[in-house]
Amino acid sequence: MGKDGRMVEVQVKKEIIEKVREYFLSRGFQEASIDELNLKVRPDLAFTRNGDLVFVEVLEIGALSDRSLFMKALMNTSALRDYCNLLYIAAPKLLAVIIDSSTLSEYGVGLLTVGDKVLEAQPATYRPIKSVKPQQVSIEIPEIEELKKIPLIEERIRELERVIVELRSTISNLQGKIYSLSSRVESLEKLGIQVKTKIPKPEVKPEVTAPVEVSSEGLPSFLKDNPWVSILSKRGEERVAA
Amino acid sequence: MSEVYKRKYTFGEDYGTSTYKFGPITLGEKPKMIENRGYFPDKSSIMYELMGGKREVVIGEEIPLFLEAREDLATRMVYPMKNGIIEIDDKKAWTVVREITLYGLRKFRSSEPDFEGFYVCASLSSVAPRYMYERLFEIHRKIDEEEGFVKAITIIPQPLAVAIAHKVPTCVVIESGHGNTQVCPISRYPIRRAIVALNRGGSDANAITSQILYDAGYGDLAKEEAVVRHVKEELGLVPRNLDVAIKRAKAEPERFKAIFKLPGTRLVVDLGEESWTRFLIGEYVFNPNHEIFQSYFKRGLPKPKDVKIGDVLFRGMLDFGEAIIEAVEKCPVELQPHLFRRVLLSGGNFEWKAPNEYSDVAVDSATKIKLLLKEKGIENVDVIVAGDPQYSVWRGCIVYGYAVPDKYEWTWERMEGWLKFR
Repeated sequence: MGKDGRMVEVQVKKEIIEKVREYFLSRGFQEASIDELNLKVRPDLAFTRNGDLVFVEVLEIGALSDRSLFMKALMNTSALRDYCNLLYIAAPKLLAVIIDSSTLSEYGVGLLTVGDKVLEAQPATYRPIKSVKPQQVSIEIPEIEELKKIPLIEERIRELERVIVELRSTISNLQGKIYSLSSRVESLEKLGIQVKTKIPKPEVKPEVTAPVEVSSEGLPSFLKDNPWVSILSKRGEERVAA
Repeated sequence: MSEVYKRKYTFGEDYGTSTYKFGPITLGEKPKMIENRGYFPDKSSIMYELMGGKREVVIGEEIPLFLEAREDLATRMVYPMKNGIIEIDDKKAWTVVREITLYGLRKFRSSEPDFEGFYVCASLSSVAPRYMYERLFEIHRKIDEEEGFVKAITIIPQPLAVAIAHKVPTCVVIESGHGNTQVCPISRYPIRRAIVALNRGGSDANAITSQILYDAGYGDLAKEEAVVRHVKEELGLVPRNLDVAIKRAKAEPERFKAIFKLPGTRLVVDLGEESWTRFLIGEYVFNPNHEIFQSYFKRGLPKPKDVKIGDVLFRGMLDFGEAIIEAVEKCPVELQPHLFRRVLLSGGNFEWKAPNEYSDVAVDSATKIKLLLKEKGIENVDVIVAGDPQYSVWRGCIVYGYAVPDKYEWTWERMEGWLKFR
């Protein structure tokens, strides 16, 4: 990107910072001085309310063309995790489509999408601040080492997703079977057959229960006086001609 | 299984080209409908996560919530039955079929104590190959395994369902949908070896309407499919005789003036001096062989081609009259007079207006078919346009499912009977 492009980026970032500031101030937060926090890795914005500390890291528009830039930003941000109660990434709306929110969720990081309005697309997880004093903060692991872990983390997340999908499928199967068994047990009970093991009905209710009562009118008009009813009711008894 | 049970738990499924019609016999006259399509969302999209995630395909009313850029639609939106046949290895299309089937059955699952699953009668295109039957059975078997909804299933061809719904045991059914047309003789059974398939349907009428709009100076509107369809339905006419109709329309331009205002907009389509072309729209559906269409083909209108899909040859340029005769003449000679006696027209492609003021030159679909047959020496044919065409197939499925005895088991030889999984 050339000089002009960089200037546009800076301008966009300023606008995002302004909107996010407005967003938090309108919710009763007070802006905290970042200099006084004395951190080696500095957030773009910091707020306090009732003793809670919130950090916000703004994601630059450049991440749109390079997803690894976003991951790098996330890793930088992760260095701040232990020194605030709530940690957010603020991203332009345009970037929302490339953000893998499950990764953010794993880190307990919230996501603010910034367009005309600021929206909390994903809440941050509240964490107590560790007792380490800010003055002692230092990044012991070089950034490059952190970046090397990304593929492993992503693989682990994919594995967890696979497990969840399998679990959901198993639960769905079990619900169906319990439902079917429960109906059968009930019908047997109505016939006077004692069933010793009572199978509880699943809590999941049908989306729609069809009105199964046959109307007093009987069959629908297309069934009445239909010569096919007689023809079809003999299927299996006749020799197939065609 | 008792007739009382079937009165409650017979379930019809019509896998149409654009909509899936479904529901139990207890719905009465009309089934439920959803669009027969599925959307495969971009899994990296935040919307995908925010809407619950982990869903391979989205169907029904939720689709608009997931739609992304317009250019993605072509690859992400799948219409599985767009020409009546799904390729055996088209995983996405089969995934959509499974999802809409599950949706339909779940919608009506019963909590009644006597419910042991539905008697499902599904309907496919008459040209659907055997593997489509096998796949559909498999989909229902898995759903039954997981949720216990299907007591038994059978599959019938759509033209048979139409004949059943209209209470006609011996006839020729022409089912003309968006993408193709099937001509199927019926005599208590569908006569499968006599089926004639055409690679022509409502979409071809749209194509020539688009070209007509372009020629009349509405190049921008010619690209909007919804507008083209509106214009076709409002201005298109089926001529009694194309040459006579064109001559009269050119001689009396005021009388045949074709003007149409698009509802809810300020757009007005006025074909002006080209108003005579409104007769081309209807003629093209029934018979694209008139020499006037050659100039359109030369200018880029796609000529309907003969195509082979699976084992079936779909004919491009056969007129509807010839198609009926070809189908009937594949049947035993003794049966032919009975088949010619009754022709049943079904599908949205036969819903043409025939205004009284143009009765000297414009006709309805039934009359046009009679005229095409008369040209070839077949007279005294009773041609009927099926009422409520969008519900006919589902209704036929309900009658079939209700009437065919439970003990009549499925055989591949007859392609009939009930298949049971338990």
